[in-house]
Amino acid sequence: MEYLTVAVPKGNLFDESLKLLDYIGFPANQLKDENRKLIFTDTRAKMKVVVTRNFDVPVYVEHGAADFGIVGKDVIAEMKPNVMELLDLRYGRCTLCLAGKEKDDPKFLNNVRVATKYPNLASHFLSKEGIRARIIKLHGHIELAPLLGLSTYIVDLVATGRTLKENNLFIIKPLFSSSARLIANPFSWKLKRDVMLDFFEKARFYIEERSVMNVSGHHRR
Amino acid sequence: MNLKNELSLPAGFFDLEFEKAAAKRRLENNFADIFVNKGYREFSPSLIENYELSDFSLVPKNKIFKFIDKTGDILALRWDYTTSLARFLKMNSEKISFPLKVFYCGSVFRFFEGSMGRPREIIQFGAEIIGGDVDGEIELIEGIFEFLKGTGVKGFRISVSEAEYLKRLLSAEHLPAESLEKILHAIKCRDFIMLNELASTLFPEQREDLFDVLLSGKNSVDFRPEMENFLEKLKNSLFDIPVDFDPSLVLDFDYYTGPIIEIYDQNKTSIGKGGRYGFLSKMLGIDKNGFGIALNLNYILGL
Repeated sequence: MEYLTVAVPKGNLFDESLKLLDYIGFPANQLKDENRKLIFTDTRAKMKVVVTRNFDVPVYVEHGAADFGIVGKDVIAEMKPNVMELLDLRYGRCTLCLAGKEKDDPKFLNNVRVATKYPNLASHFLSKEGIRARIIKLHGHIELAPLLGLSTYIVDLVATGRTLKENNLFIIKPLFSSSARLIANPFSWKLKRDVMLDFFEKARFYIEERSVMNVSGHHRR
Repeated sequence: MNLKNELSLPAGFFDLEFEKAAAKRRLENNFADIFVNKGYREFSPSLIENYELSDFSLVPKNKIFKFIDKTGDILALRWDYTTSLARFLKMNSEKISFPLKVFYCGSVFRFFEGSMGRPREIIQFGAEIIGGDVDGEIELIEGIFEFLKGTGVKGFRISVSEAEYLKRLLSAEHLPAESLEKILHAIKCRDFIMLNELASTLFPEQREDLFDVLLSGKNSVDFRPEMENFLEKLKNSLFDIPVDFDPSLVLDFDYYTGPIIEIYDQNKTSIGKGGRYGFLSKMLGIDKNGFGIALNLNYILGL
C-alpha cells in the first residue's frame, strides 16, 4: 500500500492538527519535539506528515507533493489553489478584519495605505466596501505597519483581538471569517481513493464528536 | 528596469532551447503523422482573436490575455483551439463538408496570478472531429493514445463523465436555475464544504447520494444508452488503460453534451482533457456536435 502524505502548517493550526492526526492513527508525539526535522513517517499508519508554512500547504497539495493538507480558509481564498476542499475542521476560527489606529471608516478617504499578508482578499473586500486602497504586501507582524506609519490601516486575521489591543489598534470592519480546512489533491483522490476516503471519514467523525462535546459543555475550550 | 543587466522573461513563459525545441519538433511530427494517417487535416488558426469570441468559451475571461489596438477594439491572444475552430466553422459553414477532422499543434495563453508555478503559455496538441459519430470519436482517442505511448510517459489513466449526469442525479429540473448554478460552481471548484451547505437546504434527501457519487466514484444513476455505448467502445479499444468515473469533470451544461474525459497519470498531472460539445448548435447555430481532446505538452516536454 502506498503512503499518504499530509501537509500540516506551523503556527496556530499546528497543535489542533496534531490532535486530529493522532485520532486518525498517526502518532503525533514525534512532531512535538523541537528539532529541525520536516518530514515524519509512520510505517504502521502508512503516513508521512510534512510541516510547512501555511501559505505553502496549498502549493504542495495542488502539485500532488502532498495528498492531503490542513490550511486556513483565509489562505485558500487568497491563493485559489486547484484542490478539493473537503471538510471544515472547525478549529482555528478567526476573522479577517480591517483595523487601524482610529475607529473611523476610511470609506471617504482616497488612496489609503493598507498593509496586509492577503493582497488579493484585501483588495477584493475593500473595493466591495467602496474603500479605495493602496495595498502593501507584508509577510508578518502586520500590526507594525500603522505603528511606524508605513500604512494607515491593516487587513489581518483576528482571533482573540489581543495583538490588536496591545498595539492600540481597533477593528473597523470584519471582512471574512475563516477556520481550518482539510484539502486534497484531486488526482491523489482517484489514485488512492480507499485510503483517502478512510482518512476523510475519520476526520469527519472526529470533528462531529468534538463539536458535540463542545456544545454539551463538557469539553469547552 | 536596467535593460542592459537585467534581461528576463516574464513569469510563466519559457524559451525552448536546442534539445527541447528538437523534442517538440519530433513530437509534432509524430502527432501529425498519426492523425494524417487517420484522414485528419491540420488547422492553424490566427494567434489573435476578437475578445468577444470568449463568450463561447469555457476559459474564464479573467484568464485571457487581452489588449487594445489603435482603433479601440479589444483583441485577445489565443486561449484555446476549439473556440477558434468554432469561429472558423461559423465563418465558412457553407464551404465545409462534414465530418470535418482536424488536428493542431501550437501554443495557447492563459493568465495565472501568483507564484503557484502555473505556466502562462501552454503548448497544446489536439484533434477535433465535427459532425462525426461515436466510432469517429473512439478513433480520435485511439490516435491520442498512440501518440502518448510514443512519448515515454507511463501509467496513464482516464476519468470519464457524462455532461448531463449531475442534472439527472440532482433532478435538476426541479431546481431554480440560480441554485443549480451555485451547485455546479461548488462542484467545479471541488468545494465540498459549500456543496454540503447548498445540498442541505436545497435537496436534503439526495445529499448523501450526491456525496457518495462525488467522493466514492460510485455510479448511482444510470448513464444514457449512448453514453454506455461510448464507454463500452472506449474500454474495448483501450483495454490496458484503467478507466474511472469522475462526475466532477462536468464543466458546463451548455458547452458539453455526452461524454467528457480527462487523461492523467501516476504523477497526478492532467495530461489532456476533452469531450463531446454541443455549443456549436446551442450557441452558434451550426447543427453539428463536435468532439475534441487537447493534450498538455508542457508536461510531456518537462517545461
